[in-house]
Amino acid sequence: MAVDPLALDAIARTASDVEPRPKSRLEAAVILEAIGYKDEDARGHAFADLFDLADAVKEASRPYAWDEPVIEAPRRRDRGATLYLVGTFYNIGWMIMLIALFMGGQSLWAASNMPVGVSTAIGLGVVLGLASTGGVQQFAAWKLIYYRSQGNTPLARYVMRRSLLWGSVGLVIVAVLAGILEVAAIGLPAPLAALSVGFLLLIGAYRLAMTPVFALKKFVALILASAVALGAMFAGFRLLAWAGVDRVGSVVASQVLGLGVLLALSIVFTRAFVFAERRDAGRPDDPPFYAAREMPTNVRPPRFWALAYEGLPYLVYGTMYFVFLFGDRLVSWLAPGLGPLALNYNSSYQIGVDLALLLLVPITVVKFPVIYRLAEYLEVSSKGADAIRPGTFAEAVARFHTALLVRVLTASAVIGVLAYLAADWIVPFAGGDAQSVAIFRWAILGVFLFAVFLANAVFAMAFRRIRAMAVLLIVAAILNYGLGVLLAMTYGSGAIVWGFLLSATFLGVASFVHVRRLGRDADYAYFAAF
Amino acid sequence: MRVLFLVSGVYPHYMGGVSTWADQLVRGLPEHDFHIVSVVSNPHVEVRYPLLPNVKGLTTVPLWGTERPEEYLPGSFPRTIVRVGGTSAAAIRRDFLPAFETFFREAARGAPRPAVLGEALYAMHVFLRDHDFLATVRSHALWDSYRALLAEDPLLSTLDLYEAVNLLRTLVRYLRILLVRPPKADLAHAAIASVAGIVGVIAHLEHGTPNLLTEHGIYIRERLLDLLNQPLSAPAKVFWQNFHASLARLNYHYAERVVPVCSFNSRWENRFGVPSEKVQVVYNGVDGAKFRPMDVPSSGGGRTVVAVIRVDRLKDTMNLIQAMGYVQRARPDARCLIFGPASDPDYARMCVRERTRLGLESSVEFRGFTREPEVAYNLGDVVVMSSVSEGFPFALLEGMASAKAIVATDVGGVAEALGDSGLLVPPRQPRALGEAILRLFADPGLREALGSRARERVLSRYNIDGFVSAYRGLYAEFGRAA
Repeated sequence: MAVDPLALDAIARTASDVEPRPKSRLEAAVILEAIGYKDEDARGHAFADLFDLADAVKEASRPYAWDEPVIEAPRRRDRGATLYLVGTFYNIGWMIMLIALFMGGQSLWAASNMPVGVSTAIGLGVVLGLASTGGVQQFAAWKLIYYRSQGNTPLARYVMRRSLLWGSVGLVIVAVLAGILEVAAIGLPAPLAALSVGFLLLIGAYRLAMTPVFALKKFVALILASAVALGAMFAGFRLLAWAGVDRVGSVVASQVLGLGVLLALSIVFTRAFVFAERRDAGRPDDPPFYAAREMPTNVRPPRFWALAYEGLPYLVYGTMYFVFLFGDRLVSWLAPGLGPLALNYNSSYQIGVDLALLLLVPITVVKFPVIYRLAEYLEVSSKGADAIRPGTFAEAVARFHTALLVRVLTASAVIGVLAYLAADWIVPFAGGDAQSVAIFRWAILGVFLFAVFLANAVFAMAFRRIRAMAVLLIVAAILNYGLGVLLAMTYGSGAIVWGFLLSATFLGVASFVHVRRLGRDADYAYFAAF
Repeated sequence: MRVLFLVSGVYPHYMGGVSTWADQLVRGLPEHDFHIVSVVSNPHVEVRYPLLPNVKGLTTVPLWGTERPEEYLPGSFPRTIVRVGGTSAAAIRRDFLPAFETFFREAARGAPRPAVLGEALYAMHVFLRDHDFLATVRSHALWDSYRALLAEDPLLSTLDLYEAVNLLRTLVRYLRILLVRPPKADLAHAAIASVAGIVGVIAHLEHGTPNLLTEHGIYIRERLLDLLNQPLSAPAKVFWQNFHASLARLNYHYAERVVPVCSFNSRWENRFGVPSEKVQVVYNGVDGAKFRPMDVPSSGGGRTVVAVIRVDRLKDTMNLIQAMGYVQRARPDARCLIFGPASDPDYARMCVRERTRLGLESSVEFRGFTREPEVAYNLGDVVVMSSVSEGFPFALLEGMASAKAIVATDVGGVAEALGDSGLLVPPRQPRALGEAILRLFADPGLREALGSRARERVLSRYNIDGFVSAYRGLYAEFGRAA
């Protein structure tokens, strides 16, 4: 019995409805079985068995083969306007300082017209609150994102719960030690030390509680929490002032109120986004019988050291970020005349550098929409590059980095020049003096370079190169403290800002070199980021 | 006898047909000690079956959901530090890459030389005992070697960078199985011809442990079906087809005996070069006392179809829903109860939409997972199986043991199981399925005759005692202690 080509053609046509391009005899055999063919049917068409028929079908289906497009899930595109708005609120800590300084004559740093002791207490609380939780926040955010991307939401939730628990324990330990140190070594009176510890706990707890909101990019929650907290702070300040409460009392109480609102809302959002989930991210129209991804209530705990080992660079980066950033400020507070460890809030220095640091807010606004789309850009670029000749990918990565830096540098230059020119008006408005104006002008340049580092750091972290960034921060922190002390001893406290400038220069240049090197080997860096 | 029992995605972490089989086996052979190596997708799965006293060890291998393998797999902090320190680029190039390159070439070609593939995997396993896994698989040396391997393959050289990156990342996820150091055992028994079997191959090359392989569905066949729906380019699909084929060949090569659950499956095994004398069919068995005809209160007045199946592409639930469209036109009082969870939400949504489109909201009910399948079968006048792929399905045997008239698609070992005690229809033909259901609805005598015959067939051929004693014999024949 001979094979009927027309019958074979009909079978091939049917098979190609299931798979347009059968790629092997086995795949063709599976398709034939799935559409009901058996050995007996194959024998009816003069083939030895189904596998022989599959061989013939694979060949016969060539005319019907077409390149099947790879169907991808639709992407959600965030509009540019939304991203700019989010960028505005992304550095909420700086936002509070900015608005507070210019509208309320107050800030977390108690910028002006506050007793030095109160300012020192609040300042120490803020610095230690940020530094003691920055590492845990980075670590927890990374783990949350990583495990969720691996479909392991229960473990993500477990690690987040443990991070919040141990982060809180660490925060309390730091608070206790700080309180003791402030009374015994720095010489703060007990009530001021208590105030300092209170700020430390509030800031630290808020930072920990807000981790998932930042990590999961819950922008609406972020903006809502920021707006409500700022509103509560200003309303509280005005109300207390109107009620006749003195400046110190109204400033401190309204700040505590603002931070308290921020903390409460962060807890609510974190519960909603992470701990209230009973199922993996499903959809409202998931059928009720779809229960396979119901999350277990018990999670087998992973080995702690294995988590800590991988998470160490994140812990170091998050901690050193603040250790570096506040280095020159802390040096400016040293008051050798009052004792070896005595600290006195240096209002002149502080107002100068803090105002300059606030330039990060508009710079972040400008760079955020670019950075936000980096992952998508890398995916699209890698799809357009050959695996064995990935030169176009390296070029695309370099182009993106250049565009990012141009945007950051342009924004920094424009804002920096405007700020430089307006320094004589801005700084006194915030309560600064002539020395503050000079410090502000130098610090603008330092912030400018620090913004370059931040852009490079985000870029490097997209390739999981956080270890290098952590090392750079360690070196920069040593430079900031060391140069600060040296310059203060040689030229006075006004010169400490040069230490910040030089260490920020190191960060900007070194991170730029690192990212450029990474870009030359972009295909490998892209692969290894898992 | 110490048995290294190798499973993937089933017992003791997941419920289902193969898990039932595994539980029956371990329970039925209390004289043997089992060390279970269970490959799971994610570490958060829980043990669903109580571990029996003869289960002496359980190694859970999550391929996904972790970053550092030591989060769950054995390892200590000092050892990891030493390993990381010792994992230099030179060591990777000298001792790992030659084996990796052999492995990749074999995997990309469907393992024409399974022994060479086995040796390469073993060499990689030996390297990873003393070197860090992540440092090795994230190394520049490995990436360079991989790109060179792609370049030498005319098809894979056309991959774009995105797919190439994802391919290697996925591949190294599978390679986590190499971190399992198998304990000494007298027999390695794999319940699937997949990555789990690699542990048996390592045990063989390390300790001389003999291997036994049971196949329920045909692993490569199911992977090929799965790949049809994957959003991958043709070169990537070809690679994964060949990769899974190479795993199947590897398992077949090292197995002393390949044990399919039905003769139908042995056709595929023969196609993969397994000699007939190496194949021995052992049918699954069901508990005839548990699955039996029983009076259960019925909630509806009309005729009822019952299907105890997952809502899943392989089970072709859509086929059953569309068949009920035909049935409804002739018998508006007919209804269908589908017992089983869904594993794919998109497919489950498609099924719900199709039910709505056909106006079957009140007659087709998705009842979800049931803990009482023996009751579920007895709610129906007819039990249906609508799959496009099956091995030797427990759901069919259980329906037969419940003395129900069966309509099933003629796939896998279904015809072999059913014999002349039910109606067979071609797969993916809802009209044929619907007409067969109507035929049984219309003929109570035929339903009763088929149901009695089905129960008799199960009790005589597919009982647990027969299945357990067959494995007792296989263990005695091939286990090293014999």
